[in-house]
Amino acid sequence: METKKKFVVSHAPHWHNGNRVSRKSYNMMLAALPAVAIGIHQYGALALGVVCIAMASAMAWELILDLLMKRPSSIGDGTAALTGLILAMLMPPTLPWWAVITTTFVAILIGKMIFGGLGGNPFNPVLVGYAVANLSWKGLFDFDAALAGGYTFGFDMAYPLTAVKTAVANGAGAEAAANFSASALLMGQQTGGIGAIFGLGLIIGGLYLIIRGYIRWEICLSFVAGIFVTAYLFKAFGPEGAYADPSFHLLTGFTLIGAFFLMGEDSSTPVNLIPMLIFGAGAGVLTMLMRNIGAYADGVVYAILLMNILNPLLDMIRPGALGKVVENA
Amino acid sequence: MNKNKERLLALGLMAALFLVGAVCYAAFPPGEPIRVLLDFGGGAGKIMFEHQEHHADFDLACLDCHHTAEDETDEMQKCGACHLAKPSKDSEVPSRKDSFHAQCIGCHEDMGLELECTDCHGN
Repeated sequence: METKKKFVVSHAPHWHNGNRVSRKSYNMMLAALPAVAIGIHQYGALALGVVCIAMASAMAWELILDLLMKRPSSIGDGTAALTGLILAMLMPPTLPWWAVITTTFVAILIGKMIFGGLGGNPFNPVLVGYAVANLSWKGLFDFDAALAGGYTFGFDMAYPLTAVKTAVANGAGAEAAANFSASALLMGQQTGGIGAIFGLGLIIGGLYLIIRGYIRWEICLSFVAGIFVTAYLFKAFGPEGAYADPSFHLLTGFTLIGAFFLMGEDSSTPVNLIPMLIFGAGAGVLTMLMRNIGAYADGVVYAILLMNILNPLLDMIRPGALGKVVENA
Repeated sequence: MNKNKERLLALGLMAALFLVGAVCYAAFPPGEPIRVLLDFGGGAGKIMFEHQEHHADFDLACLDCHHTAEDETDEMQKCGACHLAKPSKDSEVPSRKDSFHAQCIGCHEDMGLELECTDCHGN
């Protein structure tokens, strides 16, 4: 008689393994720390101010909105703090405090709370907040304008994506991108968002999250692959020297923070293999289309938001249910 | 960690972050700009104006450009505070574009320097 048990499901009560939402939130914050630390090191106390106010105000909005909506307080799960931190990573260090707290308000209220809180949001709250604020105060989020006033660095201070975008219009994108070496971009020798400049730190943080299982490698990898392949195709089949190298696009702007931190949001991303690959690759392709032929210098935020809209459709691609229906049984 | 401890941790973190953030913003207000990016959305392109270089290296006084500051000893006004991008038709204050053109080109011409558009725009 076969006694070997293949699959056991016991009756309730089950034993909770102790994992909580807060563990993922705090681990993601931990993973973001290297990139944020280098950003604060480069931009100084102003950047620290933006990071602190963004995190604190996001938590405060969640607390206040939970009270107003008569819902149990969810501030303890750490997702609001994480939303604030990732928003701060996308921001220039000179953003005024009122713009920071308005951005976190939009992210928490319109991005999350009106959909019923954590797990109900169809879009990544960070992206909703950033997109609304960026469209409202274009000048404040323009890295060239924001950093010109108070900073002098020992490297090219032009925001790489804007510099290349301007050059692409004149057919000289490759030449403009050659001013930014891959090693400089990896080591944070570039201007950009507080937590988006240190490529190596973002990669280390991302790998940590993938290894610990907090984010899905399928989405991250397909996003990076989507950007790489599309940038390569532009370079290979576009006019000679018009477009930048794929490696440039991988290491600048919000590519890495997008791959590891914006794609790591649970409720706005798919759960099955094929949809995850389509989601990531689609966001990558859209990003490159915006960067090379669209209106925006960096398309990561809008590309992921557009793929968020597709998410419910993508989730319909799923394995069939187990078992079968027997007709006339 | 149970729910109450999580909430306490979050509340403590929030208070500490507010405190540090407020101190950072209060202790480091924006000072005199090193450069100013002038972007009026025109077709000629943006201008990166070297503010500190003009002020310190070319030995220009603040009042040479910030002409309203004579009565306001405490704070310099930004050019765009009065020189609007699109002033009303009966306004006596020149538009932002006209006043910058007059100020930059005029001052350089006084020193015998002829400016091309691309000397300032689009670099």
